[in-house]
Amino acid sequence: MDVVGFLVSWITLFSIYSILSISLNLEAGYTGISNFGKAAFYGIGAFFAAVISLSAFLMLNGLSYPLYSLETIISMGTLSKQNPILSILIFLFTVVLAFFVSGIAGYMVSYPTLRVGPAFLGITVLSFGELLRIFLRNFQPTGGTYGLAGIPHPFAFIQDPAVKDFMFMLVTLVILAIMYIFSEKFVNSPYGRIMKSIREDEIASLCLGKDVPKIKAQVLFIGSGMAGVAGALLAYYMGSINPDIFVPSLTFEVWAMVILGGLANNKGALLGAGIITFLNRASVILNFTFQNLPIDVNYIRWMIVGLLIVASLLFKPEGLIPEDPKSSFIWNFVEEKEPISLKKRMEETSKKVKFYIKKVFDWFAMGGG
Amino acid sequence: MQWAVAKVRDILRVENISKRFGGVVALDNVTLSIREGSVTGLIGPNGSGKTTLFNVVSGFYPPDSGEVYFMGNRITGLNPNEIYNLGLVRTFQNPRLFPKLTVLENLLVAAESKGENMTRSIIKRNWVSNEIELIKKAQEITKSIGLEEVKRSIASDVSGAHMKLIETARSLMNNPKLLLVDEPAAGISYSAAKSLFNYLLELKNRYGLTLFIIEHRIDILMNYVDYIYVLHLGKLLSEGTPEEVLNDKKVIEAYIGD
Repeated sequence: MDVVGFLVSWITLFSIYSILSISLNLEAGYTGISNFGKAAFYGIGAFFAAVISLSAFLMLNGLSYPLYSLETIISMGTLSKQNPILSILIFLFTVVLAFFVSGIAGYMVSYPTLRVGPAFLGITVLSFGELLRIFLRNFQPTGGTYGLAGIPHPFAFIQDPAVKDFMFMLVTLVILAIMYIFSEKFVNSPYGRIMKSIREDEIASLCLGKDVPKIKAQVLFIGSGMAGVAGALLAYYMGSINPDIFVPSLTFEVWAMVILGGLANNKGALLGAGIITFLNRASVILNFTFQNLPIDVNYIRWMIVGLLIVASLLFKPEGLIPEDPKSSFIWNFVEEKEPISLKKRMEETSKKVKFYIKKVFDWFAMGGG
Repeated sequence: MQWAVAKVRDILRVENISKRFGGVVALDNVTLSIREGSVTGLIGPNGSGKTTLFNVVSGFYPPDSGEVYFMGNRITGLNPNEIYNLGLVRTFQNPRLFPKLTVLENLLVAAESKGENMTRSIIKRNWVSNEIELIKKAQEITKSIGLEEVKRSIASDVSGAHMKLIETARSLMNNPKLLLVDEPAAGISYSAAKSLFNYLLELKNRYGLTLFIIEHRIDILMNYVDYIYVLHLGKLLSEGTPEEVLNDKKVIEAYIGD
């Protein structure tokens, strides 16, 4: 079995889904906005990136094929390899722009429902996503049900596919790191405190001078924008997209990640995304390895996801890594604690790691008993 | 010229406010004014529109007709958050805390922080000094109000009496000028209610507040207020000093019945 290939594909998928789960965590975990339309904004980002990059390559080379045509797919194969800088520039440009396009879409869709209860927003966004998907299925310029294919990979100029995927993995990891740092900055600032106060009691927040609809709109802008970036990354990673990727069950997969990992904790969102994408990848590989099983392993994956959600809601409803109410820096200030230096933290971590390694060795030495 | 005089002396003026809920007339042409630095009471039987008046003044409901002036400025139709930031703060009859936040953070939410802006909040340098000032202020308030030992706990873990105190402490965070207090003594013992009122007066003197208090328990209220308004079925029934109101036949009739 190709372990490295498995790890690369898992980490890429993990980064993409982590961006989604972090964005949902900002909305649902911190601000209490029940966004059931994550897939819609993910899809907007993906289709935006695909359309822009395909038409940019066609235009720059003076070709006038329709976006979905065999000629486009074939010509992309050669065109994307010609100019490395151009491919990467177009990639970065579309990823950044996908943030704003999806963000503005999220803002506009949620605008009419910001002043009413959370259920309205959830249902509106959910139905918007379904409408958009059905529209795209019947919209010929983006390929209808077939979607778009031949999306030029930013590292198409690299010959070895393993290196190409590895480079892409690094890029997604960097983007995930940026998103993670930004959302950590948000939630540990006074702005994050207001987000939490809106989650706890909207009316009390309004009566304490907070412009609740505005803050909810801003959070939806950021959250949808992040989902758009994830969608753009998915489009480049897969090379082809179609409207039926962005079904509501994808939204609930992201919800499962956040619930499993722990609402209102970004580390939990990462952990949840890690577990569920691992199951996803593992089931794909198992499917390849054992081809004559009586059932499809993919369905077992859904069972496991469902079981995990039920189990976590039963035994650990706050998630694997629960919210830490004293995470913000004010507690260091109030308790007059010295902030822990990076060196000390690394020493502590390595001590812990050594302890567990020793434990495992001991376990083996005991004969596994 | 009359208005100019009134502007200096009255912190709040409510003029001909009416509010209907379907067929129910909750407030019917209510006009009242509150002097700066005074303690004013608002009494009335159940369902007389006291809390509705607070909701209209604090911007929670728009009035059907009439105007509200705060410190000479018209505030009718502003959103609750805008009115709060002008210095008109209301408290709730049942404390509405943020249960999963710590007590100290419950206080900090109420302050207007420099890190509240989405783009500014990313860079810590923008707000950290302001934040430390606010923490100091919150700690001062928790110390003076007797919340020192619970400030670290989660708000849902504290006792009911502490919740009431947190609600009051929170309302002091943004330098209020006028405090609308909705039934502070509801559900607590006579002696506790007395000490709470003493405490409110102390706060008033310390922070230069004006207090406007709804209270059912007239016996306690009488000792603390300068002026009383009586609402009955949405109409202003009587007004005056506590003695005047207590001896008003209309008030006695409204409370005891025909």
